[in-house]
Amino acid sequence: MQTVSKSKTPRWALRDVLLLAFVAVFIGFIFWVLGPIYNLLSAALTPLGLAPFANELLIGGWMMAAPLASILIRQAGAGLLGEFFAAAVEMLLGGQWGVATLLSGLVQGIGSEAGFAILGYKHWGWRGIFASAITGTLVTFVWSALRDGYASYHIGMLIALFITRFVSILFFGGVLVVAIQKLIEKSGVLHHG
Amino acid sequence: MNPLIKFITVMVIALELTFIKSVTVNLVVIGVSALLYLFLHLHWKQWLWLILLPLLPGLGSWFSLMYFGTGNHVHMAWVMLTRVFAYLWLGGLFTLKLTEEREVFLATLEQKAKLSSTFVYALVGVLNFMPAVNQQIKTIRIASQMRGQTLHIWQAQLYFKAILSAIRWSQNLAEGMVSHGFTEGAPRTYLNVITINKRDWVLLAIILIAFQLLLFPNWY
Amino acid sequence: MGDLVVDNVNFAYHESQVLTNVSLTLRPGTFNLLVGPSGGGKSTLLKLLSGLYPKFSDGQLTGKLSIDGYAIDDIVPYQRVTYIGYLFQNPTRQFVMQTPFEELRFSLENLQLPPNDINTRIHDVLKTVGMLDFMHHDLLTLSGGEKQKIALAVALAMNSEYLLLDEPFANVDPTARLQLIQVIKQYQQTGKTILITDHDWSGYTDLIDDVFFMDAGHLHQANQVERAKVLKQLPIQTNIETTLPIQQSNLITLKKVTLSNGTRPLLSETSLEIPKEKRILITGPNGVGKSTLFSALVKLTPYGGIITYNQQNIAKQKIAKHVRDIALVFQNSEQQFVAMTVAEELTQAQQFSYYPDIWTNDTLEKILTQLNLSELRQHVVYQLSGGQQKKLQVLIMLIIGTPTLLFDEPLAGLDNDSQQHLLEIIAEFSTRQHQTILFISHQLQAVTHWFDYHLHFENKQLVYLGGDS
Repeated sequence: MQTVSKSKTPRWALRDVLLLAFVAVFIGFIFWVLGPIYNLLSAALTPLGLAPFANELLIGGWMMAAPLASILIRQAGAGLLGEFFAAAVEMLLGGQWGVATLLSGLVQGIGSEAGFAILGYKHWGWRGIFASAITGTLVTFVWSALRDGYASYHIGMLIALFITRFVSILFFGGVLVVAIQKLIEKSGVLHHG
Repeated sequence: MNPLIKFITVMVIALELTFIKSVTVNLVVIGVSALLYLFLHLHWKQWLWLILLPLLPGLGSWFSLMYFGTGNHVHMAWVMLTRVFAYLWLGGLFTLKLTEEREVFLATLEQKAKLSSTFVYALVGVLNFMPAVNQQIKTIRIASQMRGQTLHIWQAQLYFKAILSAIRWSQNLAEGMVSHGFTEGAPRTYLNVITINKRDWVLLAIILIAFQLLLFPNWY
Repeated sequence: MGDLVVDNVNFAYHESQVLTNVSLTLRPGTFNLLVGPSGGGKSTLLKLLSGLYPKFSDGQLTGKLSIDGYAIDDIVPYQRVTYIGYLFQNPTRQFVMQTPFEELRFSLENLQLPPNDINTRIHDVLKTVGMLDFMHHDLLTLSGGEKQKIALAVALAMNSEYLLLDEPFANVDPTARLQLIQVIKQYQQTGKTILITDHDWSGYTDLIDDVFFMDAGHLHQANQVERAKVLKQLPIQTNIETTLPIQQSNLITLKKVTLSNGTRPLLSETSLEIPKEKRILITGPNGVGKSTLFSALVKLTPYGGIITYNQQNIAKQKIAKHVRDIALVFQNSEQQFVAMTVAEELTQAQQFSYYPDIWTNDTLEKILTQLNLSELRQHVVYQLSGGQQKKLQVLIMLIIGTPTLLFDEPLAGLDNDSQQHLLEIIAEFSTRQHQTILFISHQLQAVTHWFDYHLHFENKQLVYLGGDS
């Protein structure tokens, strides 16, 4: 008979992977509701040439799955995987952005993951969360410079976009995630093995 | 064409488009995609969707760059407008057929790309839970309204309740999968064995090489 | 035949003992019934036997649990399931795939069955449970009974030596229940051993070999007298003394209302009135649509036709305002909580109460003592036992004092004393607060004299019973 104790333990436990996946889709659904609002906002801002700000304001929400995955699973790669799951599910459901979602999901995941990585995966509390908000902003902004043509904006616009994005990620991916973590810890529903 | 091969093709080209500042290249991608769509016999609504969908973000970028751009920003404005179209039309080649090809895609990931079955079936599982997730978020909000409080998107309590559901459900599904014999890291057999035609690989190579040649004049 | 040993098993969870010195011997090839109050440890024992616990719990296990000399939880799942199969109470959350065929394929691939055998075996087992026609249906659209037949088909496909079933009929209608029991019996007759828990003991009389009792973590095999008592018990026929409602002021009106679960109709066009400030019992078989009716009343699920509340069409009402008129006491207590500790939950409820004058701190203290909750004020609600959560939840919703309260099985899982206390409290305060109460319950012994009217839901019909009819 095959026994578990003699098999090698996989790096990613089934229950953890499922938790990541569920957290990703729950967060995805909460922000999906914002889709139409985003479209309206962005349409209204278009003639003013300010459409990118719609994206900047909400990006923090779209990126929440990553830091949440990290603090729930407390394992290297969890943030990247969480954000990747969120993007993969959106793509597989035929979301409007399809393949592009997966690419940006990957970049956002890397950005958020980097914060925890820089601290050596030792801080899963507010330090790690805020570090991840900072790296998340930097990495995704470089990506936007390339993909969305941000590099061609003049400096004032660029600074305004950067600040908006940072505030959004700092709030959703930082302040809010710290508050959520407090609730989870207090409730005792999750036990870190 | 196997959906995974199609996916790789689309991903590579999309990634390259991110770095290419050429209206011509974008237009070629759009043109070739349009040609391929002709073979897919799209419904007129799908055509309308393809045209309208990129328009908003495309114009959003165009206006911004025209107003607030610097340097060669007029050129960049047109690059961005066409790039958004190229992205979405190219991606559509993969996503528009995805509902029919989803299973083969995931099976290919498991059998050919050797992605861990834990990831593949976690993905399959949550996809099948989508309607329940939607209903649960609704329930969380209404349950709170029964107590006189409306939960907003900026409140931690909303996410806490969602994560609580995620914790409970992932536990249930993990138990369900294991009780149906799912074993992490163990080999499985496959009822539908996926094979990728040689033709698919050749096609992938041809498309990618052709695309690199197209980029040639733009190598700077 | 695997040799199952359960010897002196202890299991503790969050420092509270769930199982104490449990030893169990199942005679090979027998049909066994495990009975006892909810919260007594039946589910935990079954999960341990299936090998899902202790891995998927935070509990501590001591004692011996083995099959053929191997610790059960140490056997890899794809081999373990051929020894021990397991059926959950709620089938919905145990499927990973979309259709019965897919779920069976997934399971048999896990067992590493050769592809050629998979199709044959899927057909065989679906035929055995009578679900061949549903092979490619979406699992979400199946009824509770149909889902459980598929879950049973998976267990049959694995050909497990032992089959464990944990309250498998909780969402299954009576007809499907009897069909399922027959299939399980046939399976046993091929030499398998069955262990089932069920709070309804009807339909087992001629099938059962051994009966086991489980209470407060202690297990013992029933003696002849106890056994006879369980197996002879007829389906509980309780007389509910109610009359038909007469013309009076109506609060809720259903006009040609229909309900469905996806594509499956639950209620055909029904028009009826629900009077104000009365207590109304709703009964009906499992899975008939009682909870769906409640969901529709709070606008959680769509319905056909028109529902009015106070002569206003509820479809046109804003949800936040509507659920301050009609609120649902959810079956799952956790859904209702909005704070962290018992004290915080109570304070929130007092703050949003329609009757703050009634719910003074003194009153609250008195009620908490009656419900054995007063020592728990600083406890986190998510750490309470199921029974404590239920009592707290009901109390909170009474404090809020919503004009109409819908109770979905509020007595399930409570011992008799708690049931009586809770009913008295609901009666006292709902009268003082002029509330209308709709109440789904299976615990009919507890509630015979308590109601004004009685609605029965069966065969897609919802009608008042009582009086001369």
